[in-house]
Amino acid sequence: MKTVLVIGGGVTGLKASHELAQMGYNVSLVEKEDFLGGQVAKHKYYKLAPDMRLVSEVLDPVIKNVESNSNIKVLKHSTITALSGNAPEFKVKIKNSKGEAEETFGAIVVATGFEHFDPTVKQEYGYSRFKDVVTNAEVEELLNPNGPTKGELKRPSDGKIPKKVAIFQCVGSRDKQVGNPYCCRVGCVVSTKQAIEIKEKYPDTEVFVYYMDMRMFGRGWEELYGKAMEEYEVIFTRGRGAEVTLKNEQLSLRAEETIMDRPIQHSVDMIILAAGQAPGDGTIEAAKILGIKQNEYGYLAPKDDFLSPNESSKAGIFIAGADKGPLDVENCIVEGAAVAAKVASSLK
Amino acid sequence: MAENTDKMVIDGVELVGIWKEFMPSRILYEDVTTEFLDEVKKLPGGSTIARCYQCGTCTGGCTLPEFVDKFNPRGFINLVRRGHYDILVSDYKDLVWKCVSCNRCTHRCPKGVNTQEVVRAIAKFLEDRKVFGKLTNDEAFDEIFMDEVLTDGRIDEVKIVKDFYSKTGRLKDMMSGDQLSLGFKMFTSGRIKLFGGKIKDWKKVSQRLKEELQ
Amino acid sequence: MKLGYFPGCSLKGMARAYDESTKIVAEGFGIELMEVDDFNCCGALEAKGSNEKLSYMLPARVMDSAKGRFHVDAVVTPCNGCYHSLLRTNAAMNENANAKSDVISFLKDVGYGSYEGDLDVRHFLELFYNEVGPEKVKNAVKKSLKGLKVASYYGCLYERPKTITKTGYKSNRDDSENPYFQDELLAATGAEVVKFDAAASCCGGAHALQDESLSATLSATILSAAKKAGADILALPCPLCGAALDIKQPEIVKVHGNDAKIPVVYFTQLIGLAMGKSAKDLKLTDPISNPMEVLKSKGLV
Repeated sequence: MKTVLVIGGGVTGLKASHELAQMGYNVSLVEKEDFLGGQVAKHKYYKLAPDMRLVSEVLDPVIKNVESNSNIKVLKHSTITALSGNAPEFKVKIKNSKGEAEETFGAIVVATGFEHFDPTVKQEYGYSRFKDVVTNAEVEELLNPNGPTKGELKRPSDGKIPKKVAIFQCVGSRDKQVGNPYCCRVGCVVSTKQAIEIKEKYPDTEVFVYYMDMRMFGRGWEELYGKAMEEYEVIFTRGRGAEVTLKNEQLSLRAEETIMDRPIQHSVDMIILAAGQAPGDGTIEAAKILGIKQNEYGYLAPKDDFLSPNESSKAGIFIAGADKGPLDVENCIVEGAAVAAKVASSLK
Repeated sequence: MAENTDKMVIDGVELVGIWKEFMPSRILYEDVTTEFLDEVKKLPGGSTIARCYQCGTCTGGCTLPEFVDKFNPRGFINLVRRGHYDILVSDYKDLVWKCVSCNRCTHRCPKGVNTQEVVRAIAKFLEDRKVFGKLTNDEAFDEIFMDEVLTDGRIDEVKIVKDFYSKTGRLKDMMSGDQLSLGFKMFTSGRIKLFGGKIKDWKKVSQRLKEELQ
Repeated sequence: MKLGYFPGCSLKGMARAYDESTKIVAEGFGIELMEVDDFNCCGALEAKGSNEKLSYMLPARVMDSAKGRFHVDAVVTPCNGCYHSLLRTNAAMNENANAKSDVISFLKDVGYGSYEGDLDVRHFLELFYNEVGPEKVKNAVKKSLKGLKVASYYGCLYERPKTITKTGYKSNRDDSENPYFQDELLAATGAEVVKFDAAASCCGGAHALQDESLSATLSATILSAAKKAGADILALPCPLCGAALDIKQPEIVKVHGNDAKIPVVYFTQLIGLAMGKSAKDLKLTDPISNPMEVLKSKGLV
């Protein structure tokens, strides 16, 4: 069977589909939304770290490669509802607004990705109480010239440009209270990137990052961190945000400046919560329908983390990208290519 | 002690002698030991201390620093973990026990440290090592309270107050006009009940609890 | 649902008004409370500082009795401290096998039942909000408290720590940082609930004797914040906070001045008043901070 089902039209699924099509496979790409690009498109990500490259420069070609390839059938607004059969002859029911149909595939790639952590549950940060407490994903939209504010960082309460912005790291990550003790792997670099973007656009605005460790392990990330401090004078404070309150109509945060051994109270105009990644509903749903193993946090578990990282617990079903755990865009594309190679070799 | 008698020249004046006694070293001579960490871990409420990753969420939201200078739960944990017993005693022994149990720290700790109980355990660790040289108010209160619980099964607040003042040698304060009139008001309004609740087999229960406490 | 009522020691002593007014309010709204009358002290904060096992045994004995002898489905307490001790014991028994087996063997040794850490523990405020709620309170008002400005204070252990209270996680629990159940219930009586940012601050009551001056400072901060917010009266759901903010108030005022002088009552007393119950039954003359004066001036008693 030279047909492959790819579930999820984010960067991973797009890359996998394109690579498989290039190798001559017939690909059906199922996407639940009516657009391609996953979270990157949904939240209008604007620039990518560490090179500050426009997202459109990366995402547009990836989407175009898929849409223009006659070997790929893109099924938007579609979801899978049932699986029967085994490798290499899976029967999958695919549902869209018009109805449900069963198709047969030689292999399945699950690239259902992540969703941004919803910080409402961290009530101490006042996310749903204070308008000017926003998430990093919302900031991407604000900074995007095609976004709701045409690229201006207008704070939601009164549309003013904030003079003081604080960024809280590790919101919903490295946090047992919310059941996510793992590191989100992207929060540090995304916040550093956003801090630079803000400083570049509004040099008079001060940006303060409250962190407990800056984990700059990716390509060029550490250099970006240095740049944020040296060239843009972003202030990094080692202490996790403890609470946000309103004092005299202004946002006021509390944290400990752990290097000084002192708690601090700090009035700012806007607070950005670096919300981490959580397995998306689509990932959890797909795991259930396909009967593949998840880890304790709900992410998809590889058959062997070292030796078969793109194989699920079930033969013929492959997994890739941020549905296996938090991942950045650059590495999602690597994953997409890797899984395509693995599928190809297994269907040979 | 050879290094202590080194010669030192400041502004052209040569100082000879044990100069380091006058000028404390800026260097902290780190001699890390986990001995104290192990000890605190075993105390009531201390078991989660090693989970701490020093993020400062506890101190950041703590009730006390505004009122008690240098009160710092994260800092206390750090000192215990690194074995800086001397610093804990010299700089913080009068602070640790002041925690008022508001539980903001435990409430928000992202790492699952029961910070309030850990701070209490550190205070107990200091008490157990007799660094105060006398019975502290905290110890006195705990003793009276537990004694009353184990004896009667319930607490009589007025008796507790009386016993506490007596044990800490401040019965005089209690006999002040204010306190007495307060007591009188409560007594006449029937709020102070001199009772012993009937708890099934309390004697037996109490006996078993006392064994536990020993 | 059969509800066991665990008043705790304070409500049988200094906080008698809370006990009586809770019963009046519960009865008025058809909540049947069966008093677990052989309760013992929950151990408060002292047991957990003294001996971990003991700190689970004391509350477990209460819950074993409630379950085994009174056959209740849930136990409700109006005291923040007891609420904490009971929930903490259940959490330990459910998360820590050693704690559970210690408790079980203790109960066995003393000839009690086989409590397993599974009794539903409710705070009276939370229960009253969920089972009765502001709407029914509004409809039951006989004497509106209109014109009375109330500061709604919660204390600590009602909403913290969420590791055991599950505030913000469990649907019937209050907000973990900005509790509002009591605010809404009081507003339903016609009273004006003032904006008061010390609602979840700590009164220092746990150290009311051990560290009087600090405790008084913390209490004064709350009392004066309430007064500054324009409140005539402060309402609360905890007897320990009641002791710190009411009984200790004369001493606090002596040090911190009249800014900290404001009448303090239990929220159940105000709800009872709105239900048309008498000041005498509700023991509104009990508080040292003299709420009668302001209630009289507003024509409410």
